[in-house]
Amino acid sequence: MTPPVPPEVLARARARLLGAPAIPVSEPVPPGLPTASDGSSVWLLPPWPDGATPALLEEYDIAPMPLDRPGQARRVLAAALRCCWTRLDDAPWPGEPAPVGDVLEVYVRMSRGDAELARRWATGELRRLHDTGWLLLDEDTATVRTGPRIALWPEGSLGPLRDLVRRLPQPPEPLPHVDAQGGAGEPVEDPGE
Amino acid sequence: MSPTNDAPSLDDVLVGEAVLGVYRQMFAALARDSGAVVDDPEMVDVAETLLAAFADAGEEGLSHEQMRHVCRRYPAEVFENRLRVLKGLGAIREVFPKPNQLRYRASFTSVVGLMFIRRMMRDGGQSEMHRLLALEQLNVADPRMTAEQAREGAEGLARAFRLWSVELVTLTNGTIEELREQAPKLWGTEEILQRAERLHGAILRRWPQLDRACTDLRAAIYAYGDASRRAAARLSDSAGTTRNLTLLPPETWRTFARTASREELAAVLDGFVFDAPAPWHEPAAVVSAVEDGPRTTPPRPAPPRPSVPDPGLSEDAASDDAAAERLRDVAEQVLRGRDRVAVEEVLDRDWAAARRLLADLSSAHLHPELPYRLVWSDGLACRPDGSPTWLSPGVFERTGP
Amino acid sequence: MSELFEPLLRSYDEKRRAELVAAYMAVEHAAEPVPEVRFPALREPALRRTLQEMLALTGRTLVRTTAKGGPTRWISAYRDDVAEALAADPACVPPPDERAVLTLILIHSVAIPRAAGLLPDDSWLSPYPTPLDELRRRSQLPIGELEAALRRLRLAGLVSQVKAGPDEQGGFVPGPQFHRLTEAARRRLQEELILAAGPDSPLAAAIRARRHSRARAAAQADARRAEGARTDAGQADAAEKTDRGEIA
Repeated sequence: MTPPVPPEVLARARARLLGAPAIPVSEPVPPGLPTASDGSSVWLLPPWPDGATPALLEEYDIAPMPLDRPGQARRVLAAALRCCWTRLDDAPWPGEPAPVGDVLEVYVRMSRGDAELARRWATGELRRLHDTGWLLLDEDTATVRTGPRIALWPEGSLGPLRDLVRRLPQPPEPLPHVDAQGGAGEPVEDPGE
Repeated sequence: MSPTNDAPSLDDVLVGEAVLGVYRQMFAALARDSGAVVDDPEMVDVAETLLAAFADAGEEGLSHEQMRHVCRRYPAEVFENRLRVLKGLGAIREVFPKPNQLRYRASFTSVVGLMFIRRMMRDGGQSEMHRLLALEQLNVADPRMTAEQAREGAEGLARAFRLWSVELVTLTNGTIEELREQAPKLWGTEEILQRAERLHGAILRRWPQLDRACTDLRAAIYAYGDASRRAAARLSDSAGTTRNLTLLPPETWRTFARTASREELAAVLDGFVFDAPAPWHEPAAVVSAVEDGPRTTPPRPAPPRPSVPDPGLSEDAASDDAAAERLRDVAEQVLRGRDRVAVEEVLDRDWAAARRLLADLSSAHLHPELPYRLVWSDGLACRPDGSPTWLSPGVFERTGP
Repeated sequence: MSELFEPLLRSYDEKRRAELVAAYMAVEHAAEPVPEVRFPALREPALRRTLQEMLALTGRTLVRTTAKGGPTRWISAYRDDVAEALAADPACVPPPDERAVLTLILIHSVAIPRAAGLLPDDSWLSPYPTPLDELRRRSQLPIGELEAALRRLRLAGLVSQVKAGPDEQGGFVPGPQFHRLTEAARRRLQEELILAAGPDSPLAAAIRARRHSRARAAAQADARRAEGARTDAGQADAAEKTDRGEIA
């Protein structure tokens, strides 16, 4: 038979196969893999050379793996960032947990048409973003936060995104503080008319 | 060549004629004229059409006009030509039920011959061999069967297996493409080989004196099995990573797909691994998705926030499904079993309801998993007293199951 | 960012290094095999060797595809020995309902059109969609599992949906992930399907015989090595080596 696969090679292949798998902080990280940590877990990320990202494919006019409704997915991701990336001067990872309801509300305010339908489609999108490591969705507590793949965004590419997130509709104020929502002219901006 | 021994007796001639008569009827459907085989498959279709009509006609038979009628889609001269040949070979006979009344009847043998030929065309004789083996097995158990008949049967089978082997071996030494195309019609499945061996054993047990014929048969079966294995081995070693799929007939694939359990199907992909979904969302792409996406037109007050934070993500486990199912329901209500419906017909109601419905139909159209489509044609119809007061002609239709 | 590739990249000048990185990202993330003319690191054998070494660090390898008369293209896949090791880990294997649906789509979109002589290229991708109805009504799969499995398979690029056109039926075809199989894996997929659907066929017998003799040869090679005979690993199973020799 052929010689066995070196364990670190197998561990790196396994990380790609599983997406961005989490391991407890106590466990050793396979050598050669970058990670994102939130203190209790460590996520294994793909080891891209020289800070490249798959955005490079665009320069060569090479199509990436196809994605259903990419626009909708990215708008929902933006709505989540609006709620979870609260300190915009910092990096978006690890961010803050936010109620799913807030994210849906921001999304509804960003979009047009049937609000109920928008909420439903956004929920499906949140789940897919969770499955692909872009968000972490906790279905029990109905909260969401940024996912480990967001840690792959190079700092240099974040400028326009920061501007955008600033301009997005605000999440609703927490109920206990305000007795009437949408009171005196809540600043719902029309993003970038 | 002594004239005394070789001159056939009258009996011989009669037997020979009878045999030829059966042969002629069997292959009448394939005959172009009484001396050659057809060169156009349509001519067999005429024969088949006629024979089918005779089967429906019953003992009355058919008149010339009736035969012409069932073959009306063929040109008159083709029809007349076929009829002449079929009559000449005895596949169709003239009968006179009453004086001056001419009717026609068909021969049973011709129909059987045609069925046989059609099957041979499909699988090169595999299923005929199955049937033949099963039949011989029954014969061997029949008390009326004589040793002589058993010997003839064994010799016939040995000859068939030898000819199959010869063809297979020739193909195996030829081009891979030709082997791939022809082998499935020629090679023997395990089942055929086992059947043949069982038959061989049964003959030998009942008529030990036939050991020579049986040894021959056995050798022929082995040679055939060997030729099959060699052909299969050459194919399985051949280049290509999907080309051998052609070696199982479509029916075999379909049967497996429709009858296999989930576990059997899943087992095919045992040992295969695939990447997790990992789409990339570049920050710039997120920005442009928001900026280019549909957005709120006027700033409006926020809608009241639901008192419950979120109507339960977990219970709503299939919200996508739920939305799709609702749209499917709406679409089906509108279609009411039809495959398409005019949009103006279904929007003929008050504007608010019509607008809601139109939004749903558009969503169904846009939903990638739903088999519906909205098609608009150009133009705008004004309907001053209708509601809505204008309409573009369009249809909402089903595009799939 | 990542130190992993540094030992391999260090010796190259900036331009070559950028070419290697571009080719690496392209073969690892493209939906379809990328044409070698577009990437110097795929075109030039020496650079391609380094690219292959970069991929090997994460258990990957290059797969070459050449459609009839088309340009040479490359994409990456799990190496066969790595895939085999990963498949032994239950966490790495798709659940049975997904595998079952995928098998059905491979049969209806590839095996049957292939058996009917409709597919020209030797590929696991196909333009012939499997109708949803075929999956829903004419298979033994529980309907409840079907839609969810299809959704996950689509998300992972294992199936693609074909929308119905005016004349043709819509349905599902194998997705772009099927470009990412080595030749040995594609060949094994063909064999597994034949073994499952036609276990009684002479071809299935030939496949079983071949596997049996390979396993025996491998076992003998192992035994020889255990005895201390200095067998060169390279000759232990020459056939296996040719199967993996994607980039010869």
